[in-house]
Amino acid sequence: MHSGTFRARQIFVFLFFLLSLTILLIRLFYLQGIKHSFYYKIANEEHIVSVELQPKRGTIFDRNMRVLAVNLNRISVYANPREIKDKTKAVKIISTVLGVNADFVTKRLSRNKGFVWIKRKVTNKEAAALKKFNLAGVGFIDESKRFYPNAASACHLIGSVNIDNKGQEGLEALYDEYLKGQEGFLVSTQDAKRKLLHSYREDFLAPKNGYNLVLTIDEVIQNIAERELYKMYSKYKAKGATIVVMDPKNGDILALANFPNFDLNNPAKRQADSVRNRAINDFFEPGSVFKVVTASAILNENAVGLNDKFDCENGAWKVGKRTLHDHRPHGIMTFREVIEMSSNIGTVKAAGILGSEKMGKYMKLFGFYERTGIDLPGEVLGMNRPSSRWTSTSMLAIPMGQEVTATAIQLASAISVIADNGFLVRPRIVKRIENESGEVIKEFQPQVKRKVISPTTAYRMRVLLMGAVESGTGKKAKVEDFSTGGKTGTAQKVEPHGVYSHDKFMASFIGFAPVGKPAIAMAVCVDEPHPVYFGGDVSAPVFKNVVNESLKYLNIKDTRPVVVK
Amino acid sequence: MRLFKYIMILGMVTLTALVYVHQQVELVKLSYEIDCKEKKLKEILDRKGVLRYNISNLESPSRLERVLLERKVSVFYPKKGQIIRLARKPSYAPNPSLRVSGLGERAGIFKLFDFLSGRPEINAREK
Repeated sequence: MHSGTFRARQIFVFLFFLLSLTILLIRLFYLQGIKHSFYYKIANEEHIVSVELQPKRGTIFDRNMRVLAVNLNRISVYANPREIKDKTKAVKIISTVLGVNADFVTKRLSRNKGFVWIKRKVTNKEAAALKKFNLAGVGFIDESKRFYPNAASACHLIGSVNIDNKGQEGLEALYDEYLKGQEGFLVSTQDAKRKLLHSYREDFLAPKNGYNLVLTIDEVIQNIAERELYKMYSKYKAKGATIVVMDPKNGDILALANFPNFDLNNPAKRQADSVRNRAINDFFEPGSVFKVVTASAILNENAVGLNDKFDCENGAWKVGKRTLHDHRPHGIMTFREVIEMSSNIGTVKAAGILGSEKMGKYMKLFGFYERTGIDLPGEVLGMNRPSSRWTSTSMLAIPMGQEVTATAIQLASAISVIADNGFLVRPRIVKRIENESGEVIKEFQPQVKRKVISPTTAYRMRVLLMGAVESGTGKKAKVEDFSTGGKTGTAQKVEPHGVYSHDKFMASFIGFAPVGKPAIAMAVCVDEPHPVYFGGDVSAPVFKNVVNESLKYLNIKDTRPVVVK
Repeated sequence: MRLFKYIMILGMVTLTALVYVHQQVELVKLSYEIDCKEKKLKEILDRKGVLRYNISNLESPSRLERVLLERKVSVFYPKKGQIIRLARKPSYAPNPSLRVSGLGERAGIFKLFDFLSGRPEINAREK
């Protein structure tokens, strides 16, 4: 009886376990066999993640490899509103620590989404403070932010990027394809705490960091140019000011600055007027600085000799319905004196001998009918009519810089022709593009566009313009330690109703130094200075100070030409 | 005997399973270690970037000028005659005396053993 009961119990237990095992096996078969793909997908979604790997945006260097723009790591704060239980508390903490408007945070957290940005690219201090609260549903992502060590320096050249590090203006926009790099990705298994398990990497493509730009700009010369230009800009309460410093031999832009400017690290605070790169975006009537083109054409065509004499009509000359004026009355002067003293009457008379066709030809050769081709976005083309469409009075205006337009960069290019023995070179900002290890990816060679005037004419022009500085209107551009040459210009601006203004002027100076073997060419333009408005008073001193400091910094010795009168 | 055989097989299976599990545990451990080191490397590189940026910032000409102005330090360019340039010999230039002291020109068969001395490097530098 007993043994029978025991046997029955044994069978019962055996059957119980057998049944349990069978149920488990069926369940296992169901899960692993029938529902395999369904659960496999869910498990993969939980454990296998694909992470986008952001490349590092390339750095921008000056010609001496000094950093002008660089990317640094910043932390961005996001939230998963569904995971936040006490939203009132979270809003209070986030808005206090990050300094964000509480209403904004409330709005963000009330969205029925799994991911919302709270604040991007916060400071490390802010991120560390928020991390201490260990808020559930609030996360942190590493991003990078563009920083500019020189703040506002060269802001119009470098440009800016948006929150996603995409170039928006200037070189950042023009060379975005090179700078931005290529994203990579990583497919890997993660643990329950969402930590990536690198040993279980399934796929990986390393991000390709952006290339670096090496500019022709010299940080030191840029600073000198900006400082000196700002002095005049603020002293004469000008509307705007521009300076372009160029190496005439190869077209390298050593400095380019505009005022007003803005802080690249704080682009939100900039004024609309400060964003424009006036050197390439604004064209204006150049005034007397254009006499450099007229005189070059005259001398190159041998239309007039330097010692040929002109009657400057004591400052007023009536031609038809129009009366030409000089800013100071002059009598009979040689052509050399006409240019040195910037006589409008003398220049127009000499240009009359040259003729309009040739005048137009040289304007074209000097590049006033085309863009300079500088590698910056947004260069404008002036409004210059071809000589065939000039009116009967055009030759009374164009030779002295009226009825023509030019940008500051065009004027710098034009004076470079004189400085570089008659050759027009394309101005360039970017020297080369390198990868992270310094290998050159692309190099931009200096580009000579054409020969404009003969080397002899260029030399004669240099001597002539040296005279304009030493005894003419550009005396304030004279530097003690270096020989300089240049031309002043004071152009009346045109009022909206088409009449020349009597209180709005563009004060300019274009020049080069040292005269024997010019190392730098420069254009300085100050828009609407008050109360003093002459180019020789406002712009020439800027030229003088920039030349003096820059040439000393570049360790260039003065070379004077042998003057043959 | 039969039992022993079963125990042996069971032991072998268990051991294999343990080795497999141990391997997986090690892999996970290694992953954490890599992750930790990667984080450290990133931190160091970030720090390096920040320091480099700070250097650029501190060396920025506009900042230096501002600081000099604040501290009322006036800097002038030296005038002519205030600079005396001394002719200097670069310290890395090869010393001619080396030629005498064992590293000089060798003749004939001894030239073959030049690679043992610093001679080729000196030649390259001189070129």
